[in-house]
Amino acid sequence: MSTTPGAGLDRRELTRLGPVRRAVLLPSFQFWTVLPTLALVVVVLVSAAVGLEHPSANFGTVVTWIVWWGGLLVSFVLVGRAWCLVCPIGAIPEWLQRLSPWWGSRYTAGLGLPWPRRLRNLWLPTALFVVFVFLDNGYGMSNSPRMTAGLIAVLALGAAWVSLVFERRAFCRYLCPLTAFIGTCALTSVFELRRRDPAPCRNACPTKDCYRGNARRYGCPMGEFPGGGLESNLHCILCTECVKSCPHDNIALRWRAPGRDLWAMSRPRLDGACAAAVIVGLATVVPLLALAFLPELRSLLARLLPAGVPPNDPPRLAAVVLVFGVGLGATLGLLHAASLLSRWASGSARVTTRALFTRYAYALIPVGLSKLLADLLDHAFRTWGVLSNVTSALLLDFPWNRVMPERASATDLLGPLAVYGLQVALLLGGLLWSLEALRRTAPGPAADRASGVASFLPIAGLALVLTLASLWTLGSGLL
Amino acid sequence: MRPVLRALLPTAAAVLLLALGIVWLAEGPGATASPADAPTPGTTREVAIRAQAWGFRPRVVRVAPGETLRLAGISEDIQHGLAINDLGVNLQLRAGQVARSPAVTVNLPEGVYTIQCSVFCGLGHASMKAKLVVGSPRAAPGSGAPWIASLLGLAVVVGVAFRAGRPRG
Repeated sequence: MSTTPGAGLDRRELTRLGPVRRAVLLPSFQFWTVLPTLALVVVVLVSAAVGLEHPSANFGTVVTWIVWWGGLLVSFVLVGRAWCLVCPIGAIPEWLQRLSPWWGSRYTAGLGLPWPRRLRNLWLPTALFVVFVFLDNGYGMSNSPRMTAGLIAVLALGAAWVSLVFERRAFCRYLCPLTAFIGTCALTSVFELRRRDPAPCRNACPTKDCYRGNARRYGCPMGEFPGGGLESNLHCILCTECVKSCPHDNIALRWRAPGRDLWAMSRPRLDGACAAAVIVGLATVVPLLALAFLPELRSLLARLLPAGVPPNDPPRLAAVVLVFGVGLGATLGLLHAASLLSRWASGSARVTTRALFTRYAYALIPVGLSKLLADLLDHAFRTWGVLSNVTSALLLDFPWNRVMPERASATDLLGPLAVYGLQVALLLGGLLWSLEALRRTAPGPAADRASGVASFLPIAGLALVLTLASLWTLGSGLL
Repeated sequence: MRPVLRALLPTAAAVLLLALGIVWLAEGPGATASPADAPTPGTTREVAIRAQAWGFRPRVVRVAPGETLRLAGISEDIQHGLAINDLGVNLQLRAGQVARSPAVTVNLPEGVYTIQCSVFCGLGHASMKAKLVVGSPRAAPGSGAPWIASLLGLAVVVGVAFRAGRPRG
């Protein structure tokens, strides 16, 4: 099921187009793409660190949690992990490590130690992502300018430190709290960077420059080996270093069926699958449980734990932890049960429940991603104008953002029912996408259609349940 | 068709049970909050609204057409917003600090309007809403929408299930 390049794929190659080819072959390509985001992140950091503490009037919080977050969610489908290509938090430590922003340097400022073998997986990044989401929901990070600034500073310093100790972009691949989220969601992308033809890589390339680099260019900063048959977007940040370093001009950027990785990976891993399940659970099950139980749970826990001043309120923080734990446990448990039932229904002795669990988890990503997009859609349409308000406020006192605008608008572009209609369309689109991916991954011999349908039904049922959770959570305001 | 039935029965039972649970969770515990006091025309009434992640209490605020209100909001946890776009009200709510709106006269036709959080506050922000009921409208216009959406979801699953089991392309 791995990607098999061939002559028929040429029409889908973007690197055949002159301007695209010239851009990706430009040695300073990544440097120029990082510069605009670097300038924006500096302004965001300053305004979040010293600007207004009103989250809706602070440029830093609005740009980070509305514009950046929304752009990130949309970018997964369009360009996979391309945020990592332009992320200054990953790029600047890399320049520091190489002692060069783009040209091949013989010197390095880093120790270049290999990342510990036991940590070469997505378990730690998944745990860090859960902590990241907990900080937001427990402490209100996304509506606190100071915490937003602190987060950016901690990530930047952490990335710099890790790049000085470990080789390549170890932080971006194994420690960034968003890497598991960005990597698994990037599987939905319509772009991929892959080798054109396996033959030159196997038979005529002893140097493996796409991985090791050469005197002029660097190897893959994420530690991937495109010439060895890269088959998913999980870690590919589209930096195009491999395009530049390949001596056989055998790496191409091309279109593909949207989300092909969701069903076509030949060796999906359990750590990535659990990351996918956690993302889906956080997007669908956890908000429903929080909506229903969080206040009551907090009151209940207040009898056991001493109350504090919010957000440092132990009963509430414990309630959030409990909701997270139950929600994620329920998601993993339901996915396991659906895999078990699917295996039993398929009647196939060759397939294991674990293998099904792994494949199904990836295929459910569109259900979670569409819910996260639907959440943001509501905010964008119902608090329309906030970006222009904060931009005006920033310009009044650039870049400190300490002056409150005279009037903050409270306007909406669409009514709640119209927004809900769009959310429903988005959620049903995500469901359909997941079902198509699940249909292609469900076991069952091709000759026996009944077994194929039978094995598909349990996991399709779970996809429907997760979508219902989102539909009813978002619809609760209309009831 | 025997394998299909063998999978369909437990799947349908589980989906039905879980779906009922979802409807109960979305409508149930939080929806039992009582409405605000009955309106008293001719005076400025202060309506106290408490916000917490992710909901408001009360979830229903009833007002008479033409009534003058002052909203007093307070957050019980992290920062939230309290916005009624139709009245031009947008308050920032901090934990433990009461924020009061100017007095606003409800010059709106009878109907149901949305009270919402205007500060992006986490996973459940999109569902952090309450209702402002002006007068005595018959029913909220969107109350049947989740049911229709759920049926559409079921139709999508049935449609794809018919394609399942075919050779994969």
